[in-house]
Amino acid sequence: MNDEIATMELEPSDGSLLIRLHGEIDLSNAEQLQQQLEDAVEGYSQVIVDLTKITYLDSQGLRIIKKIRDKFAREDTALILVAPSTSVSRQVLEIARMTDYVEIRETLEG
Amino acid sequence: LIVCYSDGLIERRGELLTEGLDRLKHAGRSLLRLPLDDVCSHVVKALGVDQSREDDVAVLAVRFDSPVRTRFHWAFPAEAGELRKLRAAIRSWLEERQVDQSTQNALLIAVGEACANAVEHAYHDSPRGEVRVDIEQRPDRMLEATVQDFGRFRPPAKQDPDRGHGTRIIGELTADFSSDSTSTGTTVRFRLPVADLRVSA
Repeated sequence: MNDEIATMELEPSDGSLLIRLHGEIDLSNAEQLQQQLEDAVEGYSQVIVDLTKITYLDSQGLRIIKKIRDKFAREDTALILVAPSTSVSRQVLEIARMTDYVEIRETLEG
Repeated sequence: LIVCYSDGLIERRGELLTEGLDRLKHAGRSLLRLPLDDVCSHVVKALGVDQSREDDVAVLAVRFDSPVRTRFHWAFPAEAGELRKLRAAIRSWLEERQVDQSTQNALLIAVGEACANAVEHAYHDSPRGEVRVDIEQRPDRMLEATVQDFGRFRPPAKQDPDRGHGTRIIGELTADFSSDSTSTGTTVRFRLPVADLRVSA
């Protein structure tokens, strides 16, 4: 079996990091992904996580988003999520009422 | 579509058999688009049987409706890596019916949360058992799902405040959500109203 069910692409640009996530986030890969994200964002003052291409995300994914948000809050790093209103990520973020805690954008442009 | 015929349909006196077969082949091209009731009369007419009947002619047309599974069943060992295969199977079952994207997501998430709970909490001291998922498409435009495990539910000793959102999410997404744990297992049930449930032919 292919072990990578989610992949990420990193696009750094002066002080800011864009992370594009692809695939599915569930119990099998959430913790590993959290570790990869935490390693990748080291030293940036703004991180944008693009969830547009995520095709599945549940409470396991929410849990890592919350952990990263809390860590960023302590370190004064801005976290912005990109999740279009039709995406599965947005659906879950809204149910969990995460929309008040994290800045969520409809598209990468705004 | 299957069309059966007797030799009277294609054979003509003083003519090669292949000529009749060619006529049939030609007529066959347009048959797929016709309603089943019109197939036989179209074949008979297209082959000119009426004008030159010398033999008895029998034609039978059969069309199979695409089999639509109203029930989905999937059983898997309680391991995290199995969840992805389960989702793929549910997605392909959902493809047979026209369900809007947001209902599809809701079903995948609700079933996914219930299964992740079973994987994490059902089989602590026993060897990894099975998780069973059943989804039924009801005539009242409801999808009815059951997720069953056969372990003993035990919440994690150390409560992580960020855990336990799964059941709340199922409750928010679905109707009539219930979770029943006994010494022989846990059964989670819920229903999902479908706005636009149509069976595709």
